[in-house]
Amino acid sequence: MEETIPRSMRERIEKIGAADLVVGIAGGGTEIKGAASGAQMVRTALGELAMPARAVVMQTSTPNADGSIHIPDPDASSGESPADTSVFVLPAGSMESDAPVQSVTDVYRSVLSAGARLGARACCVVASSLETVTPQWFYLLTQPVLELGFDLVTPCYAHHTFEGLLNESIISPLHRALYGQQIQNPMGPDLGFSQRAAVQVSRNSNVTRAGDQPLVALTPAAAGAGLKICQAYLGKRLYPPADWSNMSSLLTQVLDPIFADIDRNAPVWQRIRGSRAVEYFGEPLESTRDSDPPDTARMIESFHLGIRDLREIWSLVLPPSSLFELTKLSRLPQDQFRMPDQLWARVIYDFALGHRLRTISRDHLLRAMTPLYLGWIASYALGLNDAASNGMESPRDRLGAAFEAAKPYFVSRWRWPDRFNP
Amino acid sequence: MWDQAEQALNASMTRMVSRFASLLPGLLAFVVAMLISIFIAWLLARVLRRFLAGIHFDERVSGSGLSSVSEWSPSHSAASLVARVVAWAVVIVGFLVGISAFDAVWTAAFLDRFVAYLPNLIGVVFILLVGNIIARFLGRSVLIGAVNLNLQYARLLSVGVKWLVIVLTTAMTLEELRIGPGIVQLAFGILFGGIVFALALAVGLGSKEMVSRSLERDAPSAPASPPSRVEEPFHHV
Repeated sequence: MEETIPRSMRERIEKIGAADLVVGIAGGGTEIKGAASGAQMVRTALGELAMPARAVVMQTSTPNADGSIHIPDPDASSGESPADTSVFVLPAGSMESDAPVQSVTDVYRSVLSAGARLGARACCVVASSLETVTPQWFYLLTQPVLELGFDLVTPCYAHHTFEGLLNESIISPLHRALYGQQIQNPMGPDLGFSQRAAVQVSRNSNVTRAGDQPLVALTPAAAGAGLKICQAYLGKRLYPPADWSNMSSLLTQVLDPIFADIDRNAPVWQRIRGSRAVEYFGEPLESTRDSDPPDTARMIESFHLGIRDLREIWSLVLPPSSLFELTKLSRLPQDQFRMPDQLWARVIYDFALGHRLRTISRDHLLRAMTPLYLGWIASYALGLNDAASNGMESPRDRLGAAFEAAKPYFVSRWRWPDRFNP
Repeated sequence: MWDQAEQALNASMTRMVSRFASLLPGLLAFVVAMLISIFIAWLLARVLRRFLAGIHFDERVSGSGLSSVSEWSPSHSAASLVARVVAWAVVIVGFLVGISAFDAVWTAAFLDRFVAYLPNLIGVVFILLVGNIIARFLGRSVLIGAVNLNLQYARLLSVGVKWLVIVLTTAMTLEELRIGPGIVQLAFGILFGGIVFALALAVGLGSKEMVSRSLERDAPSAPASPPSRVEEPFHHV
């Protein structure tokens, strides 16, 4: 992993010697809170720990107005923290791309490398915008690892019903079904993890390779190795605004590494049955809901267009029964538009299988999923009223259970993809 | 006079019969060569098909992203396509062997021309293969991109792009085969230009409003106005 850290930074790390904790800060918002705000919050969080700790904070360098990059002083340490607690600030490598996911990946790689070099007991990355981040976030993400023996801390946010939809619709239920753990946000993006989890993820995948993303691989690697995982209620998170014109790129960027990771971990998840709840820390948070139903007409229109024009491409990965159900769905009036959870689960499994078999170009495959995803969002938005009025279980639980129920179908198709499937 | 005519007729008949008789061994050799080549072709195709099925050739081809190759075969199988190509190659070789039994001089000239033409044929096969793959890839890319942009004429756009590439490929293959190069160039120019013009018209008329909206939005002199669309409550990552 050495090549993920520039030589100058390796020298700085060697100068620091050892640390208990390595913290990566990848989120924006420093322009509002100030460049030193992340390090200050880490200092405050360390003060709440039972034992003094030595921490290294790595943050993405913020270009100045003249285009130069300000590199904070590596010897800058706290004067306010308790005795024997010290914080060093380093830039988290150079960003290769402006895309947000890439920069988060870079910070994760830097933190993994630095953590291994410094022999840190715990690492933590905060990738959310610092505007809403508090010292409590750092405390909750690191304390279970440093003091309670957990290996991975995943976040829970107080979010709006329509925030984190990709997580709600695919990532979380897929993780629950495949790895048997009911985790709200398996892909963070704010995670705390032990050195054991870091070693596990490095063993499972080559995190320095462009295709492998440590953020995607961490939770499955920890779950597959039977490491101790918990969740922490962090608070309100600021989500980046949705870019509807670039939805297919977003799907490709997020789902490609997830499906690749599923392929890599196939021997692990095929053995797991059922799922269990994962322990929580912090104060439980309530999700908020808008009273006005959102406008779903455009998404349903996109779904109809997909049914009309992309059926030929979908038929390369979806079995006839799924295609038939999708066609039936497209004929429903808008107010009755509901995509059954079982159908959605099977569609996702079929696309994961198509990704593995390379039935068509992976980029085409994932981009062709966009109308289906928009159809699911429309169905989810319209179905929320049903769930609220009927007192049914939460959509997340329902969808997770549907993914679990459809797992034998996925395992069967994974093992015998050529078998006749009506 | 009558005797002379009879003699001439007899001589002609004799020449004709002897000429035909001299052709018979060649004809027999041609038939035998064809029968043997057809048998060898059938046998080879059968063995090859079994071998390719054994090494999961179809799965490997579709896995390598060359799935469009399979669609050239009626049974949508790359293995079957390869077996057929090999079988036909053997039959063609048998045909050439059979032909050479008639007239060695003529056949040698024919073979010389055929061998000289062979690189062009190989080039044509390569152009067709690559052109077909590019046409399908671009057609699919355009279709998916256009559907994701909610364009109602996504399929038309995709088919247009696909045919543009196919027309270009066909023109290149005919040029390579040296079949009517002048006509091909002219026809290609007209056809290619026609497709581009038709696509431009279709897209231009279809997206007239979208373009005008886009121009209005991007106009530097436009006064600052509140966003036209309602603030979306949806966030994905």
